[in-house]
Amino acid sequence: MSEQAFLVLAALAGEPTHGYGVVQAVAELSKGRVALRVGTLYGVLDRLAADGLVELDREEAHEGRLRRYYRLTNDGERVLAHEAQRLAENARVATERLRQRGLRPATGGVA
Amino acid sequence: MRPLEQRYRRVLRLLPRWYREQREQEMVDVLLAGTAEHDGWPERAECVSVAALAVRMRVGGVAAPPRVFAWGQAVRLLAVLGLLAHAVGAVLRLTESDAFYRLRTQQTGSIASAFDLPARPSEWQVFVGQVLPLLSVAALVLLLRGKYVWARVFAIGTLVPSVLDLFWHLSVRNFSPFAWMLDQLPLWVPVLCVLAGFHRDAPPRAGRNWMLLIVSLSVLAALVVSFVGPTVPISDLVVAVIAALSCLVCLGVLWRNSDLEPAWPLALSGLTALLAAAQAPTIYYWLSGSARLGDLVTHESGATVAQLIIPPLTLMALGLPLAICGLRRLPNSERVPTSIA
Repeated sequence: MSEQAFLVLAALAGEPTHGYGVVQAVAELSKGRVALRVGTLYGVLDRLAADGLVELDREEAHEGRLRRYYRLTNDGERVLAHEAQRLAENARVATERLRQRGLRPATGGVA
Repeated sequence: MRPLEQRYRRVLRLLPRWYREQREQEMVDVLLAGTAEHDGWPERAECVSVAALAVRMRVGGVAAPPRVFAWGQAVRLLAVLGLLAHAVGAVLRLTESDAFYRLRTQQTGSIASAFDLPARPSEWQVFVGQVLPLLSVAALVLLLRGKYVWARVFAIGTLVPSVLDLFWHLSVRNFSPFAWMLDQLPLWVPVLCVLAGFHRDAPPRAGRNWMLLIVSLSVLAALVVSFVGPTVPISDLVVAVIAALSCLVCLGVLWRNSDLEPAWPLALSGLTALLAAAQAPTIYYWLSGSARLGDLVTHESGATVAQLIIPPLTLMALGLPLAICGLRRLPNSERVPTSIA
């Protein structure tokens, strides 16, 4: 799973969110490192929807335009949880190795 | 409607109609949200991302409607077959080269010494012309293994000799860019198909199902070469293999209840058109040197005329019915997938 797809799933984990809300949430979750452009956002949403991980929640009118809200499906929750666990396990192993070498990644890398 | 919104809507026209009908309103909402000025210009990064999405949606990926997906598969198959033709040609040219002969006959020594890397530009051009085309082999393997990003990089690398060739020709008098472009089409179009077709939404390992046929073709080509040896030019061999494959697909299409996917006839009709177009400059230059076709037949041997004219005519005769069959087999509807509707 790409980092963008992971972050979009994470952004939708809280509550149903519209497109711009997802863009903002992803920027916040990645501390500004990932800036989703509209073409990328909808490419990711289409792929996640095709895989059954995301679905339409509701539609609302906003300033005369359609605004769609998306939510995670049950499968989406499972996949996100599994991916988060996998990444956390990788991070734990890497942190353990660094500690064995006297390094502390949490403070910026070098002890 | 504000000027910025109008401009963004113009950018969104890059997307196919079926996609725009579903997404335009909410995409405009995302593009305008958070923008303080409403009479400025669209952000370049947003325009690039929309253009990239437009390519992915037109050369259909997994989320595309059936008809668009079928076109996407045809583009991907054309890319694989085109790269295969280049790969076979590159390997054969290398085995016929002096460098390969020296490499085989040397008991010791490195590849570099066998190639005897030269200092003179003309010999470097020979080196580039023989070694860089081998990147098509790597690109093909990477495509079949699903490593699309690296496959695209290697595919672009195969164009380097062609670009150098263009620079060289620009200094030649009476250079015809149109004729050069026609001649290079069979090289450039498959690479462009790799770039357009194997995007992030393409099916994973899209070429795996075609692997069996590709391996069979490679073995067939190797057998043909071992029998006929250097007497047949490589380009003629590639044309012959593509023509033979087209015949097989024609038979497959004509076979009752055949479930052959439309990608095959469409991709092969594209390849035959490319190969036929690539022979047009040769015919044009040949004809322009003589007043009439009658003069040619009088002064040249009939065999030479036939050798020049029959291959493109055969390719066109095969490609046209293939294109018609492929278009007829395309799914009718541009039904929007339920995932995005």
